[in-house]
Amino acid sequence: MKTPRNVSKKRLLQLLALFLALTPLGLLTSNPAWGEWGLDYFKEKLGFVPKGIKSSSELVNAPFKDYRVFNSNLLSQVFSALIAIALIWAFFKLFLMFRRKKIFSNKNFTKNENSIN
Amino acid sequence: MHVPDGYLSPATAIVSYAAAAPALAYGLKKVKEDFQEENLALLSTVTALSFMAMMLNIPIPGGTSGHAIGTAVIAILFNPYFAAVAIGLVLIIQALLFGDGGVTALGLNIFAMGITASFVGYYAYHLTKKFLNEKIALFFSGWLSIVCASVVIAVVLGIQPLIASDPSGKPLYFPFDLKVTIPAIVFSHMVYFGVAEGIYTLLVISFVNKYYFKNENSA
Repeated sequence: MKTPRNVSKKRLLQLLALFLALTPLGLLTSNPAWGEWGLDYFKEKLGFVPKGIKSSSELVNAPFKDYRVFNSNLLSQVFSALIAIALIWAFFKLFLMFRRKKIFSNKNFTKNENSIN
Repeated sequence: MHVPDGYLSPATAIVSYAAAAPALAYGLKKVKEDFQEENLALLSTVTALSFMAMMLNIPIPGGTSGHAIGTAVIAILFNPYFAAVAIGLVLIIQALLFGDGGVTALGLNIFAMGITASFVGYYAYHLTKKFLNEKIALFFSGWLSIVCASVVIAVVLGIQPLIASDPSGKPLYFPFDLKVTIPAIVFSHMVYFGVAEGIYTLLVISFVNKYYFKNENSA
């Protein structure tokens, strides 16, 4: 694993911004993924909906189902990604903070001193 | 490739959770040992990139679509444990907040896209870079990682009609067998989404090496 030294975080932000700008392209197709169909697909193909699929199709009520945050698809796509970016960063940040409190080894201590700059 | 709720028999869901959970727990332990503050920016970025890559649905002939997963990038830049944990996190966020992939199928989805793809991508890269051009090794590792993940999903979905049907023979959960799932899932990943994954792996790692680690040698 490489450990960066003089690195440019600006470049990573540019990469994130590029992908954020690309996310609306995901809306260009209305084709579902293979195996991620609605109930009517099974009805049409098989003449019935398998019991297990029918009974658990509404098992979880996701707050932003199908990446819909607002009424606008385009904004929803971008905001879904922003929510994910924030959560991912927060998870790893908290992971580091939590870990540092638990094992305050010499190694971590010197690392912390370095990273103040 | 995000298997929804209701497609897996309860036994399959339990077995896949039992396979994914200890692996993920061990991965978390490894991440805890190696993760440093200076990795935070890069790890968060490539993890978020995976989330966004999975939103970029690519339509293919036959009326379906798919996407890259970005697992190999994290496995190659860090190690397979980091990648399994990072993709596990992405899949948990997708299932709980965005309804993409089922909660009962999380074990399988994490096992395929997180764990399988991480280790395949990592070892494919480190084995092939010895005799292949770096760029080809990166492309190939990305391609192979998602194809192997798709094999896991195709096999587990394809055995559902065999292990769970009602007395009259009607499937209770996912209804199509291996003869259908292997061509539909694995071939589409070999021909389309694997290529997307290979290109993604090559471009993202080249970008990171060129612009993010650029001062590494002169430092």
